[in-house]
Amino acid sequence: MALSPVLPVAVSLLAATGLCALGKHLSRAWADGVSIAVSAAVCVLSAALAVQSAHGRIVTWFGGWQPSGGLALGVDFAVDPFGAGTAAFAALLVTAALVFSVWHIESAGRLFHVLMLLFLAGMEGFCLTGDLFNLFVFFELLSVSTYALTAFQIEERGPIQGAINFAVSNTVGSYLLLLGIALLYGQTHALNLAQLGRALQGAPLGGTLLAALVLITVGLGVKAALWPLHFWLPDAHTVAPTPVSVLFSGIMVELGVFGLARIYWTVFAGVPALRGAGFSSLLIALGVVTALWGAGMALLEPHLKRLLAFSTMSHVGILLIGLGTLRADGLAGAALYLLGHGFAKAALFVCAGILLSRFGSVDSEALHGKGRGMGWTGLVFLLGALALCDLPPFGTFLGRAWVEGAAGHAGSHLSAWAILLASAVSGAAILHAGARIFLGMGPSREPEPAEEDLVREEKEERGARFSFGMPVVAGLLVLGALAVGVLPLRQAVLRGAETFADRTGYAAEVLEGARPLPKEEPLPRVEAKARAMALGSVALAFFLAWVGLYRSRFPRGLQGALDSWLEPVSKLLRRLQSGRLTDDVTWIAMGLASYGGLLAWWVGLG
Amino acid sequence: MSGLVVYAVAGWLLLVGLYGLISSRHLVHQVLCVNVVQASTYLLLVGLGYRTGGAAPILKDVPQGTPVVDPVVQALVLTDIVVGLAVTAMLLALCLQAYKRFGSFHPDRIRELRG
Repeated sequence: MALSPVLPVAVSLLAATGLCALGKHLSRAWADGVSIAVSAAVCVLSAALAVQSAHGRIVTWFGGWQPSGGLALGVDFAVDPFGAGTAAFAALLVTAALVFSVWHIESAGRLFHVLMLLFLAGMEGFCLTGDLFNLFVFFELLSVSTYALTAFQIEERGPIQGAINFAVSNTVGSYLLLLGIALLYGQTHALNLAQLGRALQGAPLGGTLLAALVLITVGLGVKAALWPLHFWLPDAHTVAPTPVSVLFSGIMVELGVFGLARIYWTVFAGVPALRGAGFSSLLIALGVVTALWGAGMALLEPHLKRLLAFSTMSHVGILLIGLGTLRADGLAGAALYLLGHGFAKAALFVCAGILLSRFGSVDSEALHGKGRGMGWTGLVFLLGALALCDLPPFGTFLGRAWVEGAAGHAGSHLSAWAILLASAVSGAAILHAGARIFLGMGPSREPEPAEEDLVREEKEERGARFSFGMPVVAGLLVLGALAVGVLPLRQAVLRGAETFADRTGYAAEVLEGARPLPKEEPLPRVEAKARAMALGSVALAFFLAWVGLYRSRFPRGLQGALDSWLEPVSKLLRRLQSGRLTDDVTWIAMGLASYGGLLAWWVGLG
Repeated sequence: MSGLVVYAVAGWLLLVGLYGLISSRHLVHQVLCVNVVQASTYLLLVGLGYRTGGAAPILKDVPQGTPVVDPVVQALVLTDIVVGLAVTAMLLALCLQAYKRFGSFHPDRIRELRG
């Protein structure tokens, strides 16, 4: 039976409105049950769509407005395995987060479930749509529900600030995206991705097109937390309820990169100036800076949720490197990486939530040794940290190996070393925090008198209570990260990436209903060198974590040298992360100007 | 010619809005600046669909071939306005809560999270 691609969106939207209407008459258990069942059903539906679309895209035109003569008259959903697969993954994480919140969020009114389902509907639509403006609308739907979710603990001060920074930064980003869409429409008179791609086939990179590209990149880049558009990210993650943080890090930020990939491969890939090494190296450089900046910030951060947020930024940088290769195998690697990272990071956030519900804090300084008796949570935490260091056979390793291979083919050999360093440093930060909390390693510091500069909110989620279900959720998620690397998904993911990156095939299939040609590219080989580099990441991560734990035992001279070198850098970096809304927006404006300037100078105006 | 003016004014609105967001010292004022940024999207969209001498795109009782302005962008602007309404309402609600918790609308006072 052919499934309608509209179902995942329609089901979650209807369930959300239904819950909202019945809210007062439903008990908490019912709200939990219904929302979990709905998100699980949406996951199954999207997964079925992914399987069905492996033989050709599933295209639906709303209201029956079929395209005529290559002109799209209506709005379509065009489902390919990648889009539906990402949608299924999003729904899976929403299900896990909702299960976790059964125990974790005691005070959740029905509105929490409504917002989660709206968030889900936004993500589903964003992944499945084939129309650029429609994509923007779903983007806004998911964004606005996340602003409300971030401020869910409205009686605290931190969530207000975090939500305001998040909402204003991302709204500015959305409008930049919309300006870019408007410019594209002005040039091509099309909003359908397939038709846009056709119209821009072979077009010179003029001023309008360049401006549109920059606006769209920055607009989605704010969501994807690319440097320097990321300053809202740690604040939003710190204050959002932990089940929501699971989704922010596990899928929402990554959807920014997914959107960029979707728009690049359907619309911009036909512009000759954007096919070459110039654009590719620019994206890769941006990915490298993002990856290293996030990793460095993670290392400086004792607050576990903020630390994990910065680690997400670092891994998004690696995803961008995969996209930046502009090759199907790099894209396939990024997809595997997205899945592996999403599972592992979700598991780690659930662990952080467990600590929060037990001790009311996620500060690795204050929690020193407190987690000693929590063997299972500690084990999951360790496995999650190792997965994020890209240890084989986790899914992250395979993804990274493919990304590195593709980057090598694209002529960027340095990026493999950048990935090694970024994974090691952000992994070290997680291992360091885990060793302090679960093993009580390293010196136990007296809580310093609260520095004026580093005030944080810890009172969130006071109603949370511990349950044995929580570590089980974390364990299943980390198993998911392993499954991505072990299950025979490679062939399907590579085919999916080739389909995703096939611009002319996409246009022919959407606009004329042509059947796709089978692709027969061989699987990228994972060479021994990639394995060695991943193991290098793990070893370096353990070494750095060890240095962090036992620095006080080093000879004084060495300690002094380390401090004199690190102290100013860490002070500067933390000062830049000021938490001031005006600063966040300044960075976005500067990012907009510098991306534009760089692109115009580097790729050249044709 | 009119195309260039549209680009210029939309760009100007974007810059003014961003400048206001950066320099403002009042949260509500900042929310209004977000609206100014959004106004640039309205103007650009409507301006791009403008045809010199075009009538309103109501295609009833008009002879075939009458020039009309592009109806698509007008539909987009309507959607955009709805999106903007939701976002503005959300932001203003957050501002109110911020005032309740921090006792101020000054962005420098609303700093619980740093570093």
